[in-house]
Amino acid sequence: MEGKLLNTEEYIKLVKESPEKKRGYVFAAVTVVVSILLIVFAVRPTIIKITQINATIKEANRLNTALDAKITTLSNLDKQFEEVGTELQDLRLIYPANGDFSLFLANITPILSRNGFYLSGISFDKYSDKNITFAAKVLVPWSVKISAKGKTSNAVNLLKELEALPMYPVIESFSYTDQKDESGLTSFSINLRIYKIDNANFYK
Amino acid sequence: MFKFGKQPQSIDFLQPTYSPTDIWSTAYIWLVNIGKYMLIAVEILVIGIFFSRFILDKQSNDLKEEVNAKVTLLSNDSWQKNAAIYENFQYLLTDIKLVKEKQVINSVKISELMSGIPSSLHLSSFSYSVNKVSLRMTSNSLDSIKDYESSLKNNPNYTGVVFAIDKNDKEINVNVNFSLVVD
Repeated sequence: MEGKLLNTEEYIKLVKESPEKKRGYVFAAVTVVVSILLIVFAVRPTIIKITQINATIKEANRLNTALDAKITTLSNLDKQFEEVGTELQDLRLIYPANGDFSLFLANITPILSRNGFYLSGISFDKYSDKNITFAAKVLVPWSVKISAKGKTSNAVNLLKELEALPMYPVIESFSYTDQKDESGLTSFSINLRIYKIDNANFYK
Repeated sequence: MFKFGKQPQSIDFLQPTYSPTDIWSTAYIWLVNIGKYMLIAVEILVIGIFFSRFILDKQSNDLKEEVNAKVTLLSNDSWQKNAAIYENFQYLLTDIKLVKEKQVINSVKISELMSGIPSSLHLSSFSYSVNKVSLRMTSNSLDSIKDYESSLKNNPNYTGVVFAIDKNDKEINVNVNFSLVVD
């Protein structure tokens, strides 16, 4: 009986430690190692590359959307420009890019005569004061000095009409003395701030 | 080498009928029984990843071509010129809005100043320059001048009110200087 038990234990030990079993483990390990090597040196770089391609696609998609938006915006602006093109062209006269204040001058004379004034002199100069509290991107302030003769009673109305011009001028200074000429008219000095554009190719 | 045709016949059920003893046979049996599934799984993974790379590469190339076509379109002289003009108009319209909303209309201030002078005071000179006001007036009534002085000094819109009064035989000359309070 004792001899029989000893034989079974020996047999189990023999099965567990058999060379076939050991060889089986070795091959399993080799296969796993081969698989890992394949994953590390073939699959991993490809996955990294795929991640990079994905990032490129995402960026290209973003760029594509932005370009689409730009093309659509420009197309829409083309249509709008066709519709309001003439009105926008008038801005060339209101805010000249070449120093041509012909519209302003054309407006000044009727405003003065409508208020009983006549123009003694007008001059344009660089704006040297620093009374502007806002920062414009393209509009540059310019100074206009107007000398006119007229009646004191009409002065306020004249100033209001000047400031109502489409180029939004501002009265920077205004002065007069009560000395009348032979026609009974008083001399006024008006300094206006107007705006122009400092880029000759702005509208081109 | 593998001796598969010469498997020994046995009735001993405790031993396998055939048990390879050389390394190549064991490798072969391992490979066809278990290892193949592992390798097939890895191969499927590799093929899947490579295919997905091809698909993504195609997508990326298509997108690049599309982007390049659009860039070429936008690089066209006419488009660039129009884009620059529209951008300029955009800036200009923004500036016009800014000027319209932000700048103060001084004719209203001047109108208020001139209408605020009592009729008993004769304005002989008026000067307004960037919120600074200088007036020269004549009058026969000192009370009118004092009333005007107190009205200016009590007005919160005016600051630094200075009155200089010079009285001669005929009339009273007054020089007034003050500033407008800027909001």
